[in-house]
Amino acid sequence: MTEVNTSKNSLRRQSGLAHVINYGQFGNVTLNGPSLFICERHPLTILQLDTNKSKTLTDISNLLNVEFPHTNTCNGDDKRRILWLGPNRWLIVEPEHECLQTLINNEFNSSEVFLTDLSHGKSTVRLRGRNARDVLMKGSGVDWHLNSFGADYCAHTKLFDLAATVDCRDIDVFDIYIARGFAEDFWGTLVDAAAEFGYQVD
Amino acid sequence: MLIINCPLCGPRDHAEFTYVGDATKNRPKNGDSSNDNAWYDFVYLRDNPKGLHEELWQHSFGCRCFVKVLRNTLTHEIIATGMPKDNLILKEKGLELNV
Ligand SMILES: [Zn+2]
Repeated sequence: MTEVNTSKNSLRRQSGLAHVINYGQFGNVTLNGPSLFICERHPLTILQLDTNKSKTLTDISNLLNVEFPHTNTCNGDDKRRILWLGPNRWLIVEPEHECLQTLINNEFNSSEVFLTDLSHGKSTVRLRGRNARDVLMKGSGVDWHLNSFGADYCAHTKLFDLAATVDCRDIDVFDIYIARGFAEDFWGTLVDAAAEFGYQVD
Repeated sequence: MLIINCPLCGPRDHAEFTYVGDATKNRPKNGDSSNDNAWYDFVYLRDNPKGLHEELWQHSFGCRCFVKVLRNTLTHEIIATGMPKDNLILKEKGLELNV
């Protein structure tokens, strides 16, 4: 995985998973090919935003061109995405290309908006394929059925005993955010859980 | 496995929650030494009821909110959940707090 450094003032992002990822097909891959695809999303800018001022929230939303989502949901696309984390708390995620923190801080009063840069502290794994929900089911008691957890839903839960944020990007596509320090452990457990279905690491 | 219905996140495994304690205890209004008995009661004294108990849990692996839970300490049945300000006993009419 190539490292990119585009924002002037930030430190070079290092993948927390690069040294454990083996590319290729593994597990019970049938003639139909793997039913799961796993990859790391990297490098990402990940900011936690806390504010209880609804006017400020609307202004930031206009600046970012993404609406702030309601409880248990997400808004946006791969270019910029906002996830609901809890009351008055959101996660803003985008592929790193500018210093988003500076962009927001320049526009808004810092006593009203609290931004925490989690880019270095999180690892993001994308899990997709027809058995993705089966893998999630092995790791957490959340109701992962499509009727309860469809596209643009998110959940903060204990996944394989680790604190994780799961964002349903599409029916069978999930972005999983975990603490970087546990990413290696998480990766090992995830590929173990995926092995019975056959998976491909991209 | 106990399922606790977080008022924000929905039904979740109890392992995502941290037990906080008795939700029936109210913090004394002032810190005067004349209020020592009330503080002693608030900080240290806990009943050990057999039956319904209102308690606080924190959804620490989820939204991080405090959740009030009405639980039967004998059967572990969770009868109702709500926000900390909710009075679950009143909500569940006909149930008597067994303390
Ligand atoms: Zn919750």
